[in-house]
Amino acid sequence: MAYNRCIGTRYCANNCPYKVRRFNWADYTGADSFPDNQDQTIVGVLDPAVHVMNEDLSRMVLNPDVTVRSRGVMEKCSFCVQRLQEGKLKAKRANRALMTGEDGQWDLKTACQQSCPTNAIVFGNINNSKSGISKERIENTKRSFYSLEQLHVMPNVNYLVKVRNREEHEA
Amino acid sequence: MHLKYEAQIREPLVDGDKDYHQVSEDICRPIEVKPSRLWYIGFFISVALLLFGVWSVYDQVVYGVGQWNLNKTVGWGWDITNFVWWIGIGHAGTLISAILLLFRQGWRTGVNRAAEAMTIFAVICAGQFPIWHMGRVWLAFFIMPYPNSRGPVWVNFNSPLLWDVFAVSTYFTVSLLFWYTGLLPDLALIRDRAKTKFRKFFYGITSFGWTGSTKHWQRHEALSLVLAGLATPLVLSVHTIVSFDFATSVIPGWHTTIFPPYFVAGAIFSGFAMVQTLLLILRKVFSLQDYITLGHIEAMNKVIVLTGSIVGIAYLTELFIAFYSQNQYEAYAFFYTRANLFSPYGWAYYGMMTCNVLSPQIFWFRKMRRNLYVTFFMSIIVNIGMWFERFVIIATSIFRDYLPSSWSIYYSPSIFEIGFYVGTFGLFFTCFFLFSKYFPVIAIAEIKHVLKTSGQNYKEQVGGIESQKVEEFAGEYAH
Repeated sequence: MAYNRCIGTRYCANNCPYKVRRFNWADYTGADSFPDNQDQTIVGVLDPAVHVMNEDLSRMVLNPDVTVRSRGVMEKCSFCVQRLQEGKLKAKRANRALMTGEDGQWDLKTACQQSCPTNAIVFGNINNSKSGISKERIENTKRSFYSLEQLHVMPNVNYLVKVRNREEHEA
Repeated sequence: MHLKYEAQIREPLVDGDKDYHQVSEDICRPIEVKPSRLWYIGFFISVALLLFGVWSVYDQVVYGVGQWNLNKTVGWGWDITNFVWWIGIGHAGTLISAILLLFRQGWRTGVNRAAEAMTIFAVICAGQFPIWHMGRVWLAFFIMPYPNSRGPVWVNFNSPLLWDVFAVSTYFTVSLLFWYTGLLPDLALIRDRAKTKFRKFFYGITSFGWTGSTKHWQRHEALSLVLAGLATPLVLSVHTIVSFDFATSVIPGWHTTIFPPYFVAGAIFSGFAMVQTLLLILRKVFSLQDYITLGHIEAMNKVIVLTGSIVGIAYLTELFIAFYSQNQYEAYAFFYTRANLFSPYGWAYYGMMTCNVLSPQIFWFRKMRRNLYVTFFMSIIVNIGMWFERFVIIATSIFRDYLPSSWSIYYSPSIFEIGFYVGTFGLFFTCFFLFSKYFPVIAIAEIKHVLKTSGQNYKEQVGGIESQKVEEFAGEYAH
């Protein structure tokens, strides 16, 4: 998503078969209330919640690495592009390839992956057969599937079906 | 003058004992007298509705699209429903003015001016929705492909929304030019009759120095034909492209190859219904019954029953294909969500079926086609039905699609969405009231053109023609 190109027709969200896109229906984050971004003599009095985000303390809830999206913009999961960028730079400084689970080495983890208590989420470089995600996919070929694969929208996310004890179930 | 021979059994296009002067008098009268009290009442109601719309849109732009009851699943609701509805209404005007001109349908002369005006105003109303439904309307110019200093950022030619921009703007431009070309001789007529300073000035400027010389007429006829040629494909292409917004997507209920012809038929259907609504009022208020005759109304009702039946076949085809394809998602959209009276939006589907398919069948009967009350009532019903159709297509397709986890709650509009829609009615009727006051609502020059072949009194005069021998007739009328 190039946020600064988005004019907010919501067409992509309508067409998304997974309905995973989210629209900024209003100015939630105060992105538009930065000084002089919105002249209140023109647009009317803004909600106090909006102004809270002008204070340095309350701005600390916002991730400083991520652009604050303005209202009227569509957004979706970016696979933590800010962490990806950081990880790539880290690898570049060390003069080696990016590590996403190769030999247990991680230059980056996405936020959902990092916070998942059961390690159910793996993210990484699928072009490298030694990465965590590649190993996971190879080990679970019979278990992995793509949601709504028949639509051929070719998502990057795959899931693993639940493990069932079929023999016992059938007996 | 005319080599055209018209059968005596055809009913006249202009009733009454008219000569050229009488035609000018009849049609120019509303422009040259003070508007009636009824006109003022109607005009002020329209302006009030328009202001309500302006307020709704203003508030929505200031706050954000969150003022509307849309959600993550239903990204389009009343906004695009109304866009498609208005743009469909416009199509009748273009069909009457362009296709019927190429097919030499004489009856178009009585109704084309008002119908073309309706087209232009309907397209203006339609255009409001795609503009103001944008999350960041202040960046709306991003959809224009022009060399710019932003990168340059170029538009995405793969997007049907961009095709819409071209389709609708071309349509508007051609319709406006066509309408104005037809207006030129009539504006010059009003200028020549003008008794007030304002009228002299206003119609002097707007008639572009028309003198009525043969050269002017020759160019006028040539230009009209060229514009008719340009407008003809537009009748078919504009709504085809609008239907691509849906047909090219992956959502069950949208992803349908039948959409282009089905949308075009629906557009003409709803357009003619709107023409009927407007003309029935217009002919009564301005006493133009001699020019917009029962014959005209009957002809348009024939178009309504034809296109309504085409739309009906399209609905049934959709249902059949949903069954025949054995696609579970399609089946869900068509048999659970739509053709099921007890589903959340079942009322809209059955409302659409009743208004669009069943009720227009009444026009198979000549008596009904020529009954003004039935026609007026049906014209309203058809437009309600066509609104339901667009709502059914848009809302019921997206509110429950593939993954039940993504299904949304029941969508119904907020006051801001209703206000926007009502506001476009205000815009439409404000424009139409101004048009009826300042412009001739019937193409005077074109009426005069058909008067001597199809006027009632002239037909009566040449009544003996059919007993003449062919050679005699040809000899008399060829020169």
